[in-house]
Amino acid sequence: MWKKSFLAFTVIFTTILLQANFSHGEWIEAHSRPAVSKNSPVDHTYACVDRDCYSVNGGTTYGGVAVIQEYVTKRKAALSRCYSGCYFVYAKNGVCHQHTNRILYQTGKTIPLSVRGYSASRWTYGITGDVGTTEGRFSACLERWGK
Amino acid sequence: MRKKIFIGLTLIGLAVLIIFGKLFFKTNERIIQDVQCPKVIMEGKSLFHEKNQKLPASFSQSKQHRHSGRQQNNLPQYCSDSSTSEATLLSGFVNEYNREYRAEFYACKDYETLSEQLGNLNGNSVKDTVVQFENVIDYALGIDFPESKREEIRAVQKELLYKKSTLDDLSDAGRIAEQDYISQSAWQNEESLRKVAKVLTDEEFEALYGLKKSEIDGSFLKLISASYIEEGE
Repeated sequence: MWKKSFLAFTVIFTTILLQANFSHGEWIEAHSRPAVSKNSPVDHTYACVDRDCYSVNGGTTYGGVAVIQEYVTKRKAALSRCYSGCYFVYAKNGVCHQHTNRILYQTGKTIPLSVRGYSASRWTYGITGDVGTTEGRFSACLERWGK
Repeated sequence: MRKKIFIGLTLIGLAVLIIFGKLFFKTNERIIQDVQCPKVIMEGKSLFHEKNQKLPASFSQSKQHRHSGRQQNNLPQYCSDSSTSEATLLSGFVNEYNREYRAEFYACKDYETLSEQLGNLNGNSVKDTVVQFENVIDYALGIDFPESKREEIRAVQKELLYKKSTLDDLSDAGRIAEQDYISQSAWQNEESLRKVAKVLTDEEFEALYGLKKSEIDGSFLKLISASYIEEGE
């Protein structure tokens, strides 16, 4: 009888705990789409935190294919939104690839190297654009909003 | 009697869960409130202007067209579990057989590299960027790519990044115009690629940068203009 009680209690407790954990997070996705016109060999990328999509310098925030999809806690999702708005000088701190990687930082992943043009932007700007104007670097962004 | 005890214990347990659950969620809310920041921050600026094209100078936020169906990403933890990484898949050129594996592997290896660097307050951004590019070389050319060629690539990249740093300082001090910054950046970039082109074979160069040696001219401008091109334009 005691064993059955304990078992029932454990099942109820675990169910409630799991349900609580998994209902308090958000999806972060990175999308890649070919840059249309002028036969560009580069893919444009942007990232979305739940329904909010972000790009740099007015770039496209719809279409393409999802290349990264991760479910994160609400806190990580909130931080990702903060990172999306950090100071970033286009073509100096990076391009769309670096900006997307900043938003992805809380997922533990970066955009895959199969994204066209990404290896070329890595040559100059690195993963998250920690070059260029000091206040536009990702380290400055992390210092402001935290990890 | 035993049934009553069982029901009683269950009710007490649920009550405890509810009380602790509320405390847990309240703690979570406090943490989220600590991270408050505006959804759209109008910071940063556009540096590149193309003729006859008006470019927005701020970030944009738009609602995503929700695509139906969502698959949970079940990427294996390649980075943290080295015993599962296949040396054969990571060696040699990237090709249709190993591309997906490598893309997943380096998507999390890049994060590991980045986390280690960002944890170091005295980091050197030039050195860090060069170290990050090692993952790109591993991805495209394999972990067995000769060290002698890697050294030459590193030297060219360091030279480029130091030159870029000087150019950035001049631009930040207002000593060169934006258009001049762009054209000099383009020249520096393309010059560095031409130097690397002398070190690598045609196949190696194309695998690493995703462009042919004959496509170096104008490649930097194509890269930085990619985000400005909207569908239908």
